[in-house]
Amino acid sequence: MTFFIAVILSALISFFLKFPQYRKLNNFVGHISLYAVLFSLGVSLGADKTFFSNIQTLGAAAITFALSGSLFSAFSAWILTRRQK
Amino acid sequence: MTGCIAAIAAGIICGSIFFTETTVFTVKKIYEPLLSLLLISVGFSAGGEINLYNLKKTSKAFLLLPIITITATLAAGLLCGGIFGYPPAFSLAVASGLSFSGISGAIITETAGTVPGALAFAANLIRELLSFIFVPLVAKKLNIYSAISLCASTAGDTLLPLISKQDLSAIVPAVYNGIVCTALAPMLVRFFIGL
Repeated sequence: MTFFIAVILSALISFFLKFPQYRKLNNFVGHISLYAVLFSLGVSLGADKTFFSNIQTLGAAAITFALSGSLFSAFSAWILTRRQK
Repeated sequence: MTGCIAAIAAGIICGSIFFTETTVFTVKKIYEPLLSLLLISVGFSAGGEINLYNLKKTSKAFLLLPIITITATLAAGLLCGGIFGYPPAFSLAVASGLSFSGISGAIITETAGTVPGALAFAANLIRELLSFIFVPLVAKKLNIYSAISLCASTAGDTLLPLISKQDLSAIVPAVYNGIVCTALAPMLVRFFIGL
């Protein structure tokens, strides 16, 4: 919930007190922190030895669950919203 | 997209080969502050770009997104469970993690044991990783609502920066979908694993 509050609060502050002069700096911070977050996620996965052994034993089922859930959701949403702008 | 995959791949290589336990611990510790910084940055971009007139014009179809996401994911879970011979209740419990890997893994481990818990954890984590790859593609080929639905509970946090890169006006539907899925995932997992 902290993350949602962070997004909503910063959006509200930026909406009411426009800061156009900091847009470039904000984009730069956004890019750097996105890659840092993904790198950190990768490090957590790489360091977790059980994750690799789980993938070897449960890999096919886990990947099928993940892939089918993603695709079913994406296509259902597309079918129901394709006429919307 | 290439940059995202490269960053995750570099992290996996460093975490499994080069980094010591202390370095991994430090990197894990800074994950949450980094994510908060990223989300604050996304919020600032969104707040600067949003204008009330455009928001009023945004389709209200997004209000149905969490229902579509959950129903489709559960249907996919049932189908997969059938293919691999898992009981329907267990399949629904794994699917209802909605990309919330930590909580679904923990609840299923506590109730059904380590191996089922590991499957739930891996399936939901892989869905989150797949979202990083598919969001730009799905947003381009289908539409932004499909990309939001694909991410399920992560649409409002981890995947929000990537969604906002495709379409800044998608921030409100993405956060809404993320909040509803995040709130419902633990309840659904607990309900289905208890059947």
